[in-house]
Amino acid sequence: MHIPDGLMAPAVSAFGWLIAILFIALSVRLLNRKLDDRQITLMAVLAAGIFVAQMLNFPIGGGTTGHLIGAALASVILGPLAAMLILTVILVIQGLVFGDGGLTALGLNILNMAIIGCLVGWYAYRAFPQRSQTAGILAAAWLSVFASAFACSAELALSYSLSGGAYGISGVIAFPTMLVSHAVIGIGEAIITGGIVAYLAKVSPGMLRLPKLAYLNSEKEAVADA
Amino acid sequence: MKHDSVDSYSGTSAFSAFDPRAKFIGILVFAVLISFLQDILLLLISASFMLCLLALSGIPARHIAGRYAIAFPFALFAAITMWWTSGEVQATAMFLRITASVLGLILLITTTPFFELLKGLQRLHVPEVMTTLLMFTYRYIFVFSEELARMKIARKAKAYRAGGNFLHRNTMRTVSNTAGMVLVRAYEIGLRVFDSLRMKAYDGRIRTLTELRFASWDYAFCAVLVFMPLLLVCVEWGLIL
Repeated sequence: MHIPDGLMAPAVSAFGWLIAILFIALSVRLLNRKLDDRQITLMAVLAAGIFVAQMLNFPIGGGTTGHLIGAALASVILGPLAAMLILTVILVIQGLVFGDGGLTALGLNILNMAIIGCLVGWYAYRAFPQRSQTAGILAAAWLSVFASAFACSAELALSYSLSGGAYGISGVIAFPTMLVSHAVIGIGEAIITGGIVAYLAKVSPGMLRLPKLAYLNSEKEAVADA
Repeated sequence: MKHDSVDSYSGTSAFSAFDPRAKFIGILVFAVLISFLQDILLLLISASFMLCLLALSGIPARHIAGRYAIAFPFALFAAITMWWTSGEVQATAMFLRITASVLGLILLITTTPFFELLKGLQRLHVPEVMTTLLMFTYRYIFVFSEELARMKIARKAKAYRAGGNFLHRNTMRTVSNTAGMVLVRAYEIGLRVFDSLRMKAYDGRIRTLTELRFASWDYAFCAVLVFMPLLLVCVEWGLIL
C-alpha cells in the first residue's frame, strides 16, 4: 500500500504532507517534553523490531501472502503518539533506504499508515473495556488496516476526480479493490497482532506496561502510566 | 538482509562525493516538479534524463533494476487501471511519471550512504528526535533481520511449513511467536543500548568528525536537478516554446 511518487495529484500529495508535518511536529514536541534519551533509544530499537516483524509474511490464501503493518501493535505498546513517530521512521527508512514509497508521496503514506493507522488502532483498542482486551486488540488491528486502506482509496479517488482522470485511480475501481483486499489482509493483521500481544503478555509483560504517550493535553495520564 | 547489500555502492559512485543536502533537495524538487507533468514526450525526456544521470553515476544496471523492480508493480497497476478509465495516453503518462520519480529516488538512495543523508537532514533542521530515531532504527534493523534469518533456519530445521491461509492455526501462531520474539529481543537490547552508549560519553547528540560543506559543485549539481524539470514544466505550461 506504499504510494509511489507521481501517482497522486500534486494538491493531494501536498495535503498529505501538511497533515503529516502537523502531527509529527505535535508528537515530537510532546516526546521532547516527556521522554528522556534512554526512552528515545528504546523506542528506536523497538521501531527496528517492528520493521523486521513486518518482513515476516503470513499466508492469506490462494498462494498470496500478507505482512504485518504494526500500527495497532505499536499503539498498544507505546501509545498513539510514540507509535506514530515509530511508523513514520519506518516509512522514511523504507522510502529513503529501500526505495519503497517516495518523497512527494511520503506525506500521504505517513498520513495513511502512521497517523490514521495508529489513531484508529489506539481509539478502537481503548473503546473496549479492560476485561475484553483481546477483542479490543483484534478490532484495533483490523480497523487500523481498513481505515488506512479507506484513506488511501479516498486519496486515489480524489486525485482522479480533481485532475479529470490524469492522476490517481477512479473511485469505482480504487474503493472496491482496496477495501475488499484490505478487509481480508486486516484479518491476518488482527490474528498476528493478537498473537504477538498474547506472546508478549506471557514472555515479557513489562513491554505492555511501558508509558503510553496518548493525548496531547492529558499530561496526567502520560505521567500516571509512567 | 545484509547491510552491505543496501549501501553497497553509496560510498563509491561518481555522485557519492556530492553533499547529501544537494542531492536531497535536488531530487525532492525534481519529484515535485515531475508530478505536475502530463505530456508523454516531456515525461519521457525526464525519465531519460534520470537514466543518463544513473548511467553516469557508475551504479551497475542490475542494482538499479533490482531497486526499480520494487516500484514496478505499483506503476504497472496504476497504469492498467488508468488505461481502463482514462485511455492509453493518460496510462502511459502515469507509468512514465512514476518511473521518472522512482529513478530519481533510486539516484538519491544508491549514491548516498544513509548516515550521510541523516547528517544532511539534521543540517536541514529536521528535528533531532527524528534523526536520532532514524539513526538507531536503521542501525538495529540489520541486527534483527539477521536474528530473524537465524530463527527462520531454526524453524525450518524443526520441519516447519507454512499453511495455505490465515486460518491455519499453527502457521499463525508460529508467525506471531517469531515476530513476538524479535520484539522481545529488541526490547531487551533497547533497555541496554542507552547504558552502553552512555559509557561512550553519548549525551543524546550525535557528533561526527567529518563536517558537511556545501561547495560550488554541490550548487551546480543541485541546479542541474532543479533546472531540468523546471524547464519541462515551463514547456508544458506553455511559458516557453
